[in-house]
Amino acid sequence: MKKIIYLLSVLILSTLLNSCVNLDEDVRSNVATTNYYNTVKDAENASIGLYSNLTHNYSGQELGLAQTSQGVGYFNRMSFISFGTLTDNDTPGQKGNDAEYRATCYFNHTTVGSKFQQFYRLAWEIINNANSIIDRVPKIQGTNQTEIDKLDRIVREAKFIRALIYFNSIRFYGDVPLLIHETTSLSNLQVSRTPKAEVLVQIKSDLHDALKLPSSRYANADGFRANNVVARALLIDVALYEHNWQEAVLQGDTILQNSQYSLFDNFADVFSTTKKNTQEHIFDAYYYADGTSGGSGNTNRRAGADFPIYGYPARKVKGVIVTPALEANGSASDGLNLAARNQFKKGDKRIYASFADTVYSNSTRTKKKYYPHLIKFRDYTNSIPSNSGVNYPIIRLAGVYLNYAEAQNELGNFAQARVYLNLVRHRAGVYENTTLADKDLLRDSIFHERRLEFVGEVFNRYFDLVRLNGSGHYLLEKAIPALLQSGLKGVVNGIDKDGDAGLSYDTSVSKNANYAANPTKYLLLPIPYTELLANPNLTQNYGW
Amino acid sequence: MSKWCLGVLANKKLFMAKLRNFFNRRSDISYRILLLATFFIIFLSSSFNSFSQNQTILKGIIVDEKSQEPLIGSSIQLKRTSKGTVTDGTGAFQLTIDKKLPVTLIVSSIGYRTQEIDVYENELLKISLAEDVNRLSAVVVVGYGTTKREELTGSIASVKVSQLKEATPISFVDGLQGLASGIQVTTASGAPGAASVVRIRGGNSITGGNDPLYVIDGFPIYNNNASTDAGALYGGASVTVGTTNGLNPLASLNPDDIESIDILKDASATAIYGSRGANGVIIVTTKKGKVGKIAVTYDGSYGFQTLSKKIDVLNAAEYDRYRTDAGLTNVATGSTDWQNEAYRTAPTQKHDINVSGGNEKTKFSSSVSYLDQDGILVNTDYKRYTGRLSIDSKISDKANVGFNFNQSYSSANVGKNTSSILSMPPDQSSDVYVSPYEDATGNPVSTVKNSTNQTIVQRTLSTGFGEYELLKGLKAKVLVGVDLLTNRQYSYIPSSIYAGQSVSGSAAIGSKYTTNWLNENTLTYTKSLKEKHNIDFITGYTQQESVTQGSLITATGFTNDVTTYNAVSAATSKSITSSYSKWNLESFLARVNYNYNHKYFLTASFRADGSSRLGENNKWGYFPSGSVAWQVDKENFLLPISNPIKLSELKIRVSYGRTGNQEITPYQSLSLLRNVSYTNGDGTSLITGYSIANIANPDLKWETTNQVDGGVDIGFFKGKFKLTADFYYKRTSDLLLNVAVPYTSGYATALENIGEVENKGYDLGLSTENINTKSFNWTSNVTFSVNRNKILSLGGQDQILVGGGSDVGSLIKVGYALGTFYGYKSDGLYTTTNLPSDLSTTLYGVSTAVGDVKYKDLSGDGKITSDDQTVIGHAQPKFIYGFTNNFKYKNFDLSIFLQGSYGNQIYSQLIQSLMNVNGYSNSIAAYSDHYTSTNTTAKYSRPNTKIQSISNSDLYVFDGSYLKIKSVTLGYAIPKRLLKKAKLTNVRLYASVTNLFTFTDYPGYDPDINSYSENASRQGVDLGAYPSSKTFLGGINVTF
Repeated sequence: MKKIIYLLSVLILSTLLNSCVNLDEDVRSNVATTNYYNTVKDAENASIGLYSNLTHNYSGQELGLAQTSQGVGYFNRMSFISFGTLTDNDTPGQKGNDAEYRATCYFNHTTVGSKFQQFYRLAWEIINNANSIIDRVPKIQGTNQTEIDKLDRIVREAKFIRALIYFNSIRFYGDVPLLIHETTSLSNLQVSRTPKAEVLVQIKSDLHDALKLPSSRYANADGFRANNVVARALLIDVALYEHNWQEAVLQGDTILQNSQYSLFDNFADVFSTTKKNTQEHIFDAYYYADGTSGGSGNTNRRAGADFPIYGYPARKVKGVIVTPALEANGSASDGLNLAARNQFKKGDKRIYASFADTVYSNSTRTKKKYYPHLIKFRDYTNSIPSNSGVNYPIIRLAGVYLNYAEAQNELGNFAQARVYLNLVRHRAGVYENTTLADKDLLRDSIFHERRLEFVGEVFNRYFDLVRLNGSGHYLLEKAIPALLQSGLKGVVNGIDKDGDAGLSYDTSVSKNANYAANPTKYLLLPIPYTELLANPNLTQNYGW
Repeated sequence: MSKWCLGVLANKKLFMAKLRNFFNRRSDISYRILLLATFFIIFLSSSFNSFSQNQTILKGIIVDEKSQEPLIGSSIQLKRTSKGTVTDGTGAFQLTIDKKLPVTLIVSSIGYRTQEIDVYENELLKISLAEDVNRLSAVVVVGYGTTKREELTGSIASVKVSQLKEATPISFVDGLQGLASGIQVTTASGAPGAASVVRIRGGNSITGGNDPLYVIDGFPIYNNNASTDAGALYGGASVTVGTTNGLNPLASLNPDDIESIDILKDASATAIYGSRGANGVIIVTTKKGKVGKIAVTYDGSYGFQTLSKKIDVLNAAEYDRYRTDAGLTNVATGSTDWQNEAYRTAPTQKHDINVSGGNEKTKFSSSVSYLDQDGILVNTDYKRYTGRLSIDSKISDKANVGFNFNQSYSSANVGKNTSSILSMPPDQSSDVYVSPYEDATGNPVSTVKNSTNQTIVQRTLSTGFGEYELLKGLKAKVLVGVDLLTNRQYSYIPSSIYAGQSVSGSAAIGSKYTTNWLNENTLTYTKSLKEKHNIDFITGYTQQESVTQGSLITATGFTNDVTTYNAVSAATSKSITSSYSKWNLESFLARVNYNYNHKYFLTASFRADGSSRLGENNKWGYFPSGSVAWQVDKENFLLPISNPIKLSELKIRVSYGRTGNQEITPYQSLSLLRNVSYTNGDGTSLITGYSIANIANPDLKWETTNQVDGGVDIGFFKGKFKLTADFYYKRTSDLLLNVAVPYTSGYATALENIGEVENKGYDLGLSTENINTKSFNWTSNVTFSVNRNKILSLGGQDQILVGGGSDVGSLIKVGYALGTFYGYKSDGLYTTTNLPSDLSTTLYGVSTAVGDVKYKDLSGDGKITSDDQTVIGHAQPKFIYGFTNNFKYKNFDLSIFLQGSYGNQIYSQLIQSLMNVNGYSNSIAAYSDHYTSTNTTAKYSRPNTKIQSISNSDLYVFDGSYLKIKSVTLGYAIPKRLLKKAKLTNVRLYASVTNLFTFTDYPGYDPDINSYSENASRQGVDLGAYPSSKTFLGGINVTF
């Protein structure tokens, strides 16, 4: 009896005087900003996180938007297809079921489309993460010169990535809010657009800071990082955008003298998983075939995007004999018909690294049909198409050559321009050296070469079309009828002729119809509807 | 003592300031000493009763009025004292009192009407009790205690547990539907053991959780369905947002072990639970032993379930015609009714054994049970084993100890969302591996049959307490409890089926462990002054902590399907994750009940809660409440009126209180980093980095609900007609909302306290005894609830598009209720006369032609765009109701339970998915009447292969009103004289049908559907989940 009383008293006293719970959050499965950014290792990890943002998608989850399954990432499948279908390169294929991609093909996309909404969001996610490094890392104390250098480098690399995304953004949206500090508070989030000239000033300032990075390639494990050549190559792009031809030539000369950079002899090597960070590569989005079929962002999901249902006939691709068995599990969901395929001359060595031309047309794999698919990013060391470790080149030397050629041409130095255009053409194998000495014709030739060289490499064709439109020489209209024709050809030769069931390219509409109604509108992407709802201080672009 | 406390309560400012000071400086021992001193003062201030020298010994027996059987365990109490006893195994009692006769005894027994007996002479008393037709026990369980129903000032509904069991639910939660007013239960899935959605007086919160707090044997539990989903089902494929995969954690409690369920609805009743009281509280008390000889009860039933309804879809010939009309070619290879292939008649059985008994000192109740239910979908089932022991012991006159030990093991094979069973092309043979049509989908029956999706839940819920009467009327109680919840999941999708083929088989193994412990220390004081002033007071300090740890292994790439998930090391690709989450809560509580002469009642309560989950600037919340009640019928001046109209009870109640809600996952106020991966520069492996996941919000705080309630209890004819009505208004502010922030911030959303929601309505409960003769008895029970929910503010925004997209079909909008549907308004079909010349102005653009659905141009801009979407329906019912009838004729008993909902709508994504016009998948049977050049007056639009996704529109919004014959049970009790020879006390045979018939216009499986489960913003959506079943049962109930 008494024992019980004692027990109770002890229990009451002990719990009153000594509570067991602590109301501070006990976070164990996460790190928080309050206990992070203290060491050089933390800075390095944050830096890896920033690079990871280029290919992955993290914050979309809260929105209930598809996080990973469709390769949603700034440089991943969703962007490849969205921007491909916006140009004269891609049309929806046999299984192009995705309503949004189809709409884009017809210039029917709207301000509520989830793809461009995601894309817009991803850009700001990267910028905010870059800002967080630029704000926080300088506060970390390095204990020796190696550490101090490393911290300095991490900040400059972040500035390069910030400049890269901002430069893309002003080309996509025109004026954009210029934010150079991390968002740490929920107040004052409703920002306004900054004139793009001011944004350009920041971009150039960031790139010049990044020029202080080492000029040699990062070795081995650090190969994904940006060095001074990367920043310089982007400065050339910026210079061309500003028609600052001298600046483009000046920066180009420096890169051309760097002996670590040269074209691959074999074009297909650009897309080899064993030759990453060598010769021609300047800056890549990095992928690794880790077998995640869902595509967490580690793999280049573009590779599995337009994979034909019944597979390809046996053939040799990228040096690997591909048997029908290896291709048996096609289940394309939003396949594309590569209209650009018809632009290639017969025998162009780039064709075999870029396209698979014929596919089977039924389950018994007896009939074949012409149905070009992009295979640039197909990783033939893995049987599952979406499990691709092929990098996506954001900047490569062939691009620097063609940019340099363009700048020299605009300055009237046709001979210099021809040298670098011919280097690219020469590698393709079937093109004789050009002898053009007319500024307009040579420019046409350079841009045509860009289209062939970079087919399927995300924004290149889109930027080219818009940039040319802006410069008044090419007009977007010029490209549109070409698209319709080549698209139809693919349809006629490929699908409908065989009588296969499925979607066909809708011949009753062309990009032209919607485009012609308001051509200026399509020079810029719309600001997503949801963004305007969340921030009334933003204005919509013309026509949207 | 009470003066001190009331004084402090009155001087709230001072009290709060002191509390804050104390809470903010937790090391301040002095305040704890002050608190101890308070308790000490309580001891001293309680005055001692003077003891009379006169002793009287009263003896008697208590029997059932009709059967004259002794009533074991009835309680006898001397009126206005705490003096009392209970009857023994023969129904006899003996009570020694200190008073002179005459005295008044209060005699009560569970299930019987309480009687007051005036005793004038000391002779052997024989007291007959009449069965209480309402079966609502006289004692109501409230937070941290019990009270008599007549003394209640708040709004509490007690559920008739016997009726709940008639419908043989797996979980008591499923059975609550229609049995108490003010509570709405909807079904997320018809799968055995699946979760239900419970709302008390509507939903207050948009994202903060709307489930009530469950208090099981004193242990508060917020029911989180995620705690029984380790994430390993379906090969570890990511869980579809909002749909439930796991089992209902509350299904671990066998409904047959439940003694009583009390639903606390108004703030006066729930504010004692402070930050967890805003959504109402459901108090579940398991069976306790009774004084008497040991009783052994066996309850067994066996039966079968069938699909409650089939949905008519196109048959093979009709489907082929549809494809032909769409301009597609057919590849028909057979004719299959996929519903026949997928659904079956499934057996179910249940066995319970309960042993209980006890003497005056120690009482116990124990049980074991086994439930085995096959699902109507092939390869799904649910098994449950439970064991329970409850012991209460009176160690001395002053000390009590008790234990409750509930243990359960449930194992289920679950099946996925079954809409593909309906959409699978019917012109294929049943063993087809994959649909040969354009949208390749696997054979749904093969998928269900050949995949393994096992989920196992083990739960141990134990509480133990010690109570000691320090002084007369003053009791100290320490309660400790622990709730151990374990979930393990095993899944394998073989490479032999479509779903597993592309990844060469996928396996997943997951486990989740939740350890939740509780400590409550309370002091209660009961005092009666001059038999007029009655007061009881409780104060306490409680702490609770919960830790959830999980791990998940997923693997793909198996060379064979032999070892399945048992040898994941053989897989080529593996991924492993683990998680940790912890929250804790620290609380101080106090409540005082006062009544004057049992006529005027007053209750005030206060709770301070500190939660780890909230921002560092707002950890503590304060939740007061107050209520008054008046027993008007006890006023003498009313007698001239009440007697002629046979008024037996009239009570008026008013209450006000503030409660909170904190149901967000831990750590959300912090700015966390997530680990991310990138490829190293060699391209040879992955490396890990960190990236910031969200913006910190140190101001994150409670959702606060203020509620007023006015109620009246009226009884006529000695309680044969009894009506309880409550009117309430609730206003919730500071909603925890994931608000869309501009993307330019780098984030999509941020959790903030923004917005207001109101709920108002009334609950009616009516119980009547219609006929009561010697051989025939008929009683009825009606519940009727009306709730109007409205969003008052979203912090400056007018609306939130659910899920961030504009096309998910649900909307959160100011001025509308939660569960508002959003989409286009249809306007018939395009005809040759109304088809616009510029097709790009239509929703489907140039693919549009005559026969396609025409939508209304609400924005008036001449184009159909997303701007033309509008509110197209609402999930909230106008009212819900339940109607129970119990008949008893001699040894037969019959119970008929009807339940229904009126005025709600359902957004059927199931029907929408079956209305795909592109010809790739099957449609509802009615779609054979589609537009073609020869059928221009068709009801449905033309097949159009260009339309890949069907826009959300009012075409898929249906009236969800229904009336359900929920259960019908016929029982026969074998006459006692026959049983005597077999030495049995009681044998009852019964047969029942559950979910017998549903009157509704809804074309889906069952209008009682809420596929998104706990997701408040997407209520009333039917995704085509596991359909409901009809159950036929036969059973026997034996008491030895």
